[in-house]
Amino acid sequence: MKKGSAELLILSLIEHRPRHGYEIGKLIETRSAGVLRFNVASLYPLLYRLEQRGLIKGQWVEKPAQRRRRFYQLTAQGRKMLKHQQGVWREFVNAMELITGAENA
Amino acid sequence: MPDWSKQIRSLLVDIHLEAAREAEIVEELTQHLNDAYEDGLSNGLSLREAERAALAPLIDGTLTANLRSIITSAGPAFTPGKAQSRNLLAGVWQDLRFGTRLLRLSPIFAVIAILSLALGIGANTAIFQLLDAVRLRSLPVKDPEELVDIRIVDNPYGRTGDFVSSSPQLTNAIWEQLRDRQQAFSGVAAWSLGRLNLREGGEAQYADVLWVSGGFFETLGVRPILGRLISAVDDVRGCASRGAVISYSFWQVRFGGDTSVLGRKLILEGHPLEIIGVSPASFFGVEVGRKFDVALPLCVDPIISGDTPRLNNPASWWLASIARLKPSWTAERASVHLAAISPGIFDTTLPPDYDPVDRQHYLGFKLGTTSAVAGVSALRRGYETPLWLLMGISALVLLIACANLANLMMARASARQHEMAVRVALGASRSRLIRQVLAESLLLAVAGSVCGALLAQGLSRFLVAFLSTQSTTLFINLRPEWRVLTFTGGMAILT
Repeated sequence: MKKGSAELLILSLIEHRPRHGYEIGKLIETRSAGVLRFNVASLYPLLYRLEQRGLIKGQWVEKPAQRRRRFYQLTAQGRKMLKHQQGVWREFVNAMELITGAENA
Repeated sequence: MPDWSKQIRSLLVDIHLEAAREAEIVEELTQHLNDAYEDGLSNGLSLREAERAALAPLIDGTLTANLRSIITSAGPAFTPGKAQSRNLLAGVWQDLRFGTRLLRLSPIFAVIAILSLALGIGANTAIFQLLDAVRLRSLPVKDPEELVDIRIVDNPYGRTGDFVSSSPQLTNAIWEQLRDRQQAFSGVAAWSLGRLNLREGGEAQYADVLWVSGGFFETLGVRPILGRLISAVDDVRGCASRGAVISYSFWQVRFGGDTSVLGRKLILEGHPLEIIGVSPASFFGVEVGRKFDVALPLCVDPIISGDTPRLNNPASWWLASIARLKPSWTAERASVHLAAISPGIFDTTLPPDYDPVDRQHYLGFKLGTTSAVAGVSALRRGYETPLWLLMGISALVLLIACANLANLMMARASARQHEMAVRVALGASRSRLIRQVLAESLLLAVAGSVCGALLAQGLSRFLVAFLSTQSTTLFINLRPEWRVLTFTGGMAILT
């Protein structure tokens, strides 16, 4: 995987609403159809690092009839970073496509 | 549902997280494993398989490694109060400030501690100051180490005659013979101390008089600050010039430092004498503990003393002699020389009215030298041993004061065990704690010595006043000088 792509995955998954860690891991796995997989040992250190850098913010939320969970949401700084990375990523994919598509055509 | 928290905690233990942060992470990961476990069960796994699947990612230690990389990337761990080994003195200022605050918090303890130290140090310093002035300090003249005091030595019998002044070593006749016969000294001088009345009528007012031979100031290398000093031409039989030199302090007190004082008349015992010069402020004479107001040549004595001239009485012991060694001469060699010329001197000066026994003793007298680098002093002869003794006693008192203070500090230390425990818990090292306590002691010691030094000024003045009598006013130069200050500083650190 490209460096920083795991961060991009997480940031985009919580772009529109806060999610907790297990949900994020599960979403990555299902949406990539099992190609990308995060486990407890790799996901949480990543979340903590993002939180430390001020890109996301964790918050304990208690819902009725459930144990409390920690939900992560984007900070303003995280949102800026997400937009930037999306741009970079799109350029990268386009470039890849241009090169590989040109060869195949 | 298995309890995951214990396993998770065991993985985090090496990272040394803050307790609250660790609990948070444990709870979050437990939640995650619960979810994974439940997912596993709903996917048809057995209880055992679901548990193993949930725990699988934790087995290889990547969690610990990943978390640690985050913790360390967050910067060095903060341990409050930890002394940095690189900078041993970092935070000394904090220690001192903290010490000051602590002392201010317990003013009674501080006052008692500082006072007991101040008393101990003050007493020691005062006595040392006196010892210094009386014993250790050199005469304020040129090359004092070349000066020797000439007197009759190895005399088992004692002398006969009139004894005047505080250092009655020689008669005028012996002095004149000595002056003419000696070859060991580049300069030799005689002097004596006395008091004369300054007033012509009414209540007497006395001036301390320094009688000097013509070569006195030249021998000592003292230069006038105004006019000229007494020289050989002033000290001749008959005393035509009748000049007087006044001391700096007398000049200031009596004449207000007026430079037109030269040539004015000074009336001593009704006899007018002309002021020819002023001696420098640092020069107090050669007898430590005494000062002079007026210096007169010896030849004035017959004019003033009237009926009892000491100058011509061969049995009147009233002079002392100080001499400067020739270059390359030692005091021992000079003594040998003096011993050799002694028989001639005493033969010539034998008082005619001595009885045969006195005569025999007198002819056996021998002159010799002792070092006069620090001047001569009746005060020193009388008080040196007691002063050293007093010094010893006050040192003991200081020691007791220190022991008391140590007790006080110990009591405080045990009362502060709780504080120390908290400091250790916050990460203070042993040396840091010791430094803190030392800083407090240092504060006390410094405060004590400052108070002590101030106290010493008063105390030593009191001691001087105590030793002075009506007939002899003690004059001791009690400037707080470096020697005394060093002594006090040493005491403080020792304390």
